[in-house]
Amino acid sequence: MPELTSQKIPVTVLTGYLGAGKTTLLNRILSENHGKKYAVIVNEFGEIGIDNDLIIGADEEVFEMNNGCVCCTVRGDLVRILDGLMKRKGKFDAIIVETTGLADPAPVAQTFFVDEDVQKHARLDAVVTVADAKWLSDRLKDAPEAKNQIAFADVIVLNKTDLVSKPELAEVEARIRGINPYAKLHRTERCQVAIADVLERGAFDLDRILEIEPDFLEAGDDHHHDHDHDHHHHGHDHHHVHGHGLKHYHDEDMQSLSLRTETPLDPAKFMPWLQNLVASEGQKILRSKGILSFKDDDDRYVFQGVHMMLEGDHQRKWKDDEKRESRVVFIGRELPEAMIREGFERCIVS
Amino acid sequence: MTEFDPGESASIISVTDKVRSLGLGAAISAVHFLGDQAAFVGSEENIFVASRDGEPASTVVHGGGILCTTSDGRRIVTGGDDGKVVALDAKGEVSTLATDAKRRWIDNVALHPDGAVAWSASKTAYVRSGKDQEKSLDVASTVGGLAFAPKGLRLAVAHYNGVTLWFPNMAGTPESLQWAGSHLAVMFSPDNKFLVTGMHEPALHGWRLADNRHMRMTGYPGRVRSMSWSAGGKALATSGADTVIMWPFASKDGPMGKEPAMLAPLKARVTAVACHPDQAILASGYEDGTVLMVRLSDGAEILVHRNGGAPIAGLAWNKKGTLLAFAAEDGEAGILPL
Repeated sequence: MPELTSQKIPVTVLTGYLGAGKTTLLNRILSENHGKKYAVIVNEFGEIGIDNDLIIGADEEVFEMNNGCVCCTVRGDLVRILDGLMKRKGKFDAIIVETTGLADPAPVAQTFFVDEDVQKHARLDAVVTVADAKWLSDRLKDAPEAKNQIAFADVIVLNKTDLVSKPELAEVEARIRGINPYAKLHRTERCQVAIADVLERGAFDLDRILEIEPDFLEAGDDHHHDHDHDHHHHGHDHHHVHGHGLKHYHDEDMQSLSLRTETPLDPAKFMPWLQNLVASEGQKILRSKGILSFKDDDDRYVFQGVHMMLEGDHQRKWKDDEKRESRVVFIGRELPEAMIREGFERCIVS
Repeated sequence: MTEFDPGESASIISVTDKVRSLGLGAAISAVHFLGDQAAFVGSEENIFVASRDGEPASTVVHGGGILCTTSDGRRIVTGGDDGKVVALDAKGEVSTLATDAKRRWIDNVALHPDGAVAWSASKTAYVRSGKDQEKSLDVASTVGGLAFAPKGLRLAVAHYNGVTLWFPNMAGTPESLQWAGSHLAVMFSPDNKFLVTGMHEPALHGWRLADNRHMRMTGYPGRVRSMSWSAGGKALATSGADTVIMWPFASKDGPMGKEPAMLAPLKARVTAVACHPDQAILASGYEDGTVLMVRLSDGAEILVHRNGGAPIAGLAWNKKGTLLAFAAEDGEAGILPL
């Protein structure tokens, strides 16, 4: 999979609850002069005010794979549309898939994990979620779809920040971080965000798990922030945002869980444990990611998953000056934290 | 049903020097014959038609991607992402058969032996027969495949969770054949006794039409994208594995409880199959660019095109079975006279 990555067409999945500003962002991407041509798969024709023969209407047809995996759903229409788009390879540089406001991003992401033909030609680049700064806090209470979209995101565009006060903004950001501390967050008005911050992020590219998520390191532990960081931020007023220093919200049903150890892991224990974990708890686990240091192995191993699906590979040699630390993150609903922590501990070489 | 076990390929007779090579310079997605002219359907815009000796001539049929194609040997019918259904005949004349009002993609086309045409856009299947107005049928989900029954005006419409069998000229509710999953291609057996679908997962599904009994044909490592009935319809040749999988359909039970034949194993996935119209021979194309002719009785192979190129996108025989044409995805093509 990794060697062909560059030839594969990157696909960005654009989600966001009704009215958050997805169409505004899409129109901006399409009208801005960036020298790139995008094929766009939209759920409703007509909303896009731009003439482009590579805008395709989709039906959001989700179906279950007959492979015994209960949450293994894929977007059948996407398989068909991507197949058709590949006939016009060379006419566009990247693909954007817009989902409806009420859509669960999982079937879209899973389509890229399970469909052989899709995998051959296209790769999932990132899930970008547009959130409404004014209404997101309410939606997180009453709309499970909105929460899923935040939990799934690699990039969050927190839009309409001009419509809220600074404390309100801090509040909604804390709520987002309570669900997903790892996504890149951009605060915008009318979706004014640099295109490079949302497209071609390589968030699903195993080689880049760390590079694009520098927070991955620091945010690696929800509960104990490094003291250095805390001191650093004490000088500021706390309406300034960096993910740290803010009061911590714990969302009642959606959490992230991070695990880390500087002692090498035993691959003979870790891999079966991870596979069993996603097989048994995969309905609760929305996203998983990890960088692993295995015993007697000079290569870093990286993996990522969506529900029950995992992919992973040796990535590169550990650098000499690099701390050989394993870090694993799960984002999900009602995660069995004690069970996961105990299982992980048992994979550490004693 | 069974695991495939590709054996070693022995040294092989070659007819590669008898092939007339053509460089079409465009991505190709399918091959047909119009009479004795080979027709190579481009991924976009053009069909390239070549007589046995002449240079290929390109004809524009769509203003964009060509999403689906079929042929009865007299004309080629294609559907495009420009929302059009277009026919090209052996004289080179292009006619637009239909234009989708909303310019939706035409995902599937089918041709009836008597000239009726079917196509689909999204969840709607359309049929036009003779001078009649077109008729349409909405199914529950996007149409994955279309096929006319060999007898009568009856259309099979494949979709999620099964196939709908529709008599466009008869009132009444169409018959529904159900099987969970996404059905992407469909064909009737030539004797009209069986219906077979290619599924999204690497498997075929079938129904015996007399009693709708299910037939599962599984074991493929990849999706089955190419299927072809042997001369006389006694077996169905399929792509999807690194050997041609031939399911026996000679008995009244079809392939149920039987092993498939495995022919022409290579260390590459079969991408296209085409059975000879009269003889017990088939042509098989592979993802490494190889094209073979295979004798069904004993699996003897003849090399038509060497490996090393792009995946074979399509293969076709002319009606008399005297010419074999093939094309790779990158436009490298050939015609073999027999």
